[in-house]
Amino acid sequence: MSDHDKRNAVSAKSLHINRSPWYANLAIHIVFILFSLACLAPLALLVIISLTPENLILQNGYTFFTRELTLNAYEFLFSKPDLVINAYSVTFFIVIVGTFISLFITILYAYPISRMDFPFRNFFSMFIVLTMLFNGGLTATYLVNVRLLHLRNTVWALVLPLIGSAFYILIARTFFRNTIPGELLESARIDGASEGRILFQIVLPLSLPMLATIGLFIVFRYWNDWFQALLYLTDKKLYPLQFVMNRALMNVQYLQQNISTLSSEEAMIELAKMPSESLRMAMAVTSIGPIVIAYPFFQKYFISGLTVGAVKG
Amino acid sequence: MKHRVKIVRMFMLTLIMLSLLASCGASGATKTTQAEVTDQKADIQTATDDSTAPDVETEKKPETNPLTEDLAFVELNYYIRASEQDNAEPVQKAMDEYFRDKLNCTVHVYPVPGQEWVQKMPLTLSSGEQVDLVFDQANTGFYTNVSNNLYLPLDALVAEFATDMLAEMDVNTPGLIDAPKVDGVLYGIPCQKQTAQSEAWYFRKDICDKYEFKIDELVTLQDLEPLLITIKDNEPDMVPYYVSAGTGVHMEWTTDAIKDNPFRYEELNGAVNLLIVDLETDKVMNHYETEWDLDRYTTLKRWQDEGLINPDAATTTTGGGDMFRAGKGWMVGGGGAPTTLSTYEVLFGTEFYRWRATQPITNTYQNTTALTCITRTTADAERSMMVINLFHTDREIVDLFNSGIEGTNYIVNAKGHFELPEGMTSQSDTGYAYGFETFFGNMFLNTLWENQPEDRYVELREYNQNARRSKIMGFYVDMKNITTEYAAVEAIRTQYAPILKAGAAQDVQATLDELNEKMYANGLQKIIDEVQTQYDEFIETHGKG
Repeated sequence: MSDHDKRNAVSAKSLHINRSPWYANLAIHIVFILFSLACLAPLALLVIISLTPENLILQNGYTFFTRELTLNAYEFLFSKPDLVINAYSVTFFIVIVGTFISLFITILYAYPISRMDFPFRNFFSMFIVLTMLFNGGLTATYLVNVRLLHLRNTVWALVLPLIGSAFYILIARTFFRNTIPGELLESARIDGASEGRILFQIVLPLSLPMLATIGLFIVFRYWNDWFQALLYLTDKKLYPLQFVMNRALMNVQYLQQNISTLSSEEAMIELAKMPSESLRMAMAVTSIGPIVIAYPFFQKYFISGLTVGAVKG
Repeated sequence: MKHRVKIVRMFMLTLIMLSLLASCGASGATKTTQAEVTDQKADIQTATDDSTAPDVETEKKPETNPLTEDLAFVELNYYIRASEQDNAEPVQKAMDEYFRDKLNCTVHVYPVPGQEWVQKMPLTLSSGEQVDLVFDQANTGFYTNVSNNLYLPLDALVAEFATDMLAEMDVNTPGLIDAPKVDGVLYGIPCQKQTAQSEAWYFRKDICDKYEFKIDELVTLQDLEPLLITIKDNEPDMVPYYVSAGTGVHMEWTTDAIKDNPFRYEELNGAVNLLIVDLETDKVMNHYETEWDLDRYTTLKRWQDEGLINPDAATTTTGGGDMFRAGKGWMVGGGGAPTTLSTYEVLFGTEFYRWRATQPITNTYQNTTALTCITRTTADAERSMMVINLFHTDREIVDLFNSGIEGTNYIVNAKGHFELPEGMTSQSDTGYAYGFETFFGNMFLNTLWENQPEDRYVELREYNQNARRSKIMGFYVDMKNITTEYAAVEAIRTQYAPILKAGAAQDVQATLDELNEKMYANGLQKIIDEVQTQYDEFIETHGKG
């Protein structure tokens, strides 16, 4: 019996052992159904609260079963076009432009250091890894961005600070190195392709799963970011969506937590101006909307991208 | 051999990259290090963007009154802790015009909301950006910022450019200017408002009249109990005593335990939630170890058991104001200043009785809650002081900053009072309401709003003049040597405080013991010893009283 046959026999046997009896199947299903519910329930609650009238929330607290539904919060939200529509367009701009530039830079850095014939590949790999281990810290970063690059109150303050990520570059490098055979590049070169042509017409089309994966990561990074806006922006017109939402939610939390250390009169007055409970939930719903729709679109690449990214024999 | 060449080459490359980076960062870095130079005048110039600042900055004071001189135009930046407003631009424009006329400058207002302040301001201040005027208070790091040398000493500037302001302060808020001094040097100009601290409850008038409550006769926390029971029995929809997580009884509230001697303890500025000093023995104490705390928290526990406090008090984040507005509350807490009463009546749209649960005391804590500082990165320190002076003496700018523009944000009625424009229900509706009037300048200069009592500021002035003065005015805890310990102890304290304040502790004495034990294990004794030393030194140099 050859090795090959033996292995087949073993796998057939283990397949049989692995076939679960019905009760185990049932248990596993129940566990996972419960798990899914645990993930979905808070989201459902969020949506329901955003539709509940404010006085009912104060009287009954948060509940799944509300007596009345209303669209008041959403009406109010969209009655302030500056607030939401402007923020949406800023966010879309930074997500689209930022993702494009960021992906481009990632590729341009990762591809050369993946090539065995590039002389300084180890140096540049170390160089980018170093930025993962050590960074300038908040103050130094802030100084460079504000005083040197003059990013304050420009939309680029939301794009540039997040443009490069050592981690994504390393993922991309590993992908290029492991998946694109050196022979392919060699034959292309023999056929007379330039380096640019090799990268854009041969390597990148073969790397779609990785590009989609990293692209998705970067999209999320830009979509979810509010900290850059907090640091660099004072111009209302440039606020991205997440910052507007985050600010509204955090402000209320801050005031409530610090009501005893602030002058209570100040806190009372500030709190009276804050958006109501249901409005805050409506904001949260609004801010997750589009990204939830984008996710399934990326998902098939996302899964295969991760598999391919792992080390294979 | 080949290998070594490679290493050398790589090393060179690193050097080149590093030097590139270094030269890029240089302009920013030198500016901040220079800001550390103590010579005030010299570094005002280097730290600012335009090193062509006029000769106004020289050490010699000009002989002539600078207000009459031709001042070079300068743009000033003023950072305040307030939420951003929907429609602040017209007011900003009007302010620019005003300051251009008066001082040939502009003052651009940058509002930074409360929770962002802590993250944003240290960066802004230490990055060498041009910040001229900035709001600060003991809670947001005033003393740290002073010891980090971010602010300019103001005594000379005040003496030269703000004597009018001092005259106003003597009338409205006697002794105010001494409170924020650090080692005898003034670094922040306090707002002229209530100088005395007291805590109060505001009770709905209609409810009190209905059950014939005698609010005037209340003295201690325990006196409140029969009232709460009445509410519980007769108003099923109301929570008699609503507490949301972490709020509730302020630590120095009068209880039965200190009824006879309410001024025996004083809070220590800089550690108000943790430490108090016993003025009879001059001992710095952890207030969780006092009889007073035991008494207070035992009472709260009894109330919780009797159903007088909402059961979710330790965790809920819905504020007392929201509950009140939803009709579930009949009392709401706040400061004891006379102005708060009318502010609340407008805010909640109902009439109130006030009960001051502590006697007003003029102390360091209250008078370091609203400071205006001039930073080391200012473009023009003297002009900034002139701006502060106007904030304290000119009704026009105070009204403009607080109430906005006539016609847009308010209208003037026959009596000369302000009123909301038609169709508006609150100042926020007009798109401009920083709510900053108690944080800068001179509150007494505000023109009255129609719904405010005629004697609003007369009453406030009396309140300030009659309040008891703290025995340790000017004392603050310098956390420099005990930062780590204090952070650790605070983390523990904030974990237990909501439980105690909600009356949710099963056994109050045991919970307090557990809390104290944990705090001592994390360095509380070191904090107490350090503060005791500072306190003793303070008493020795300043005396008590």
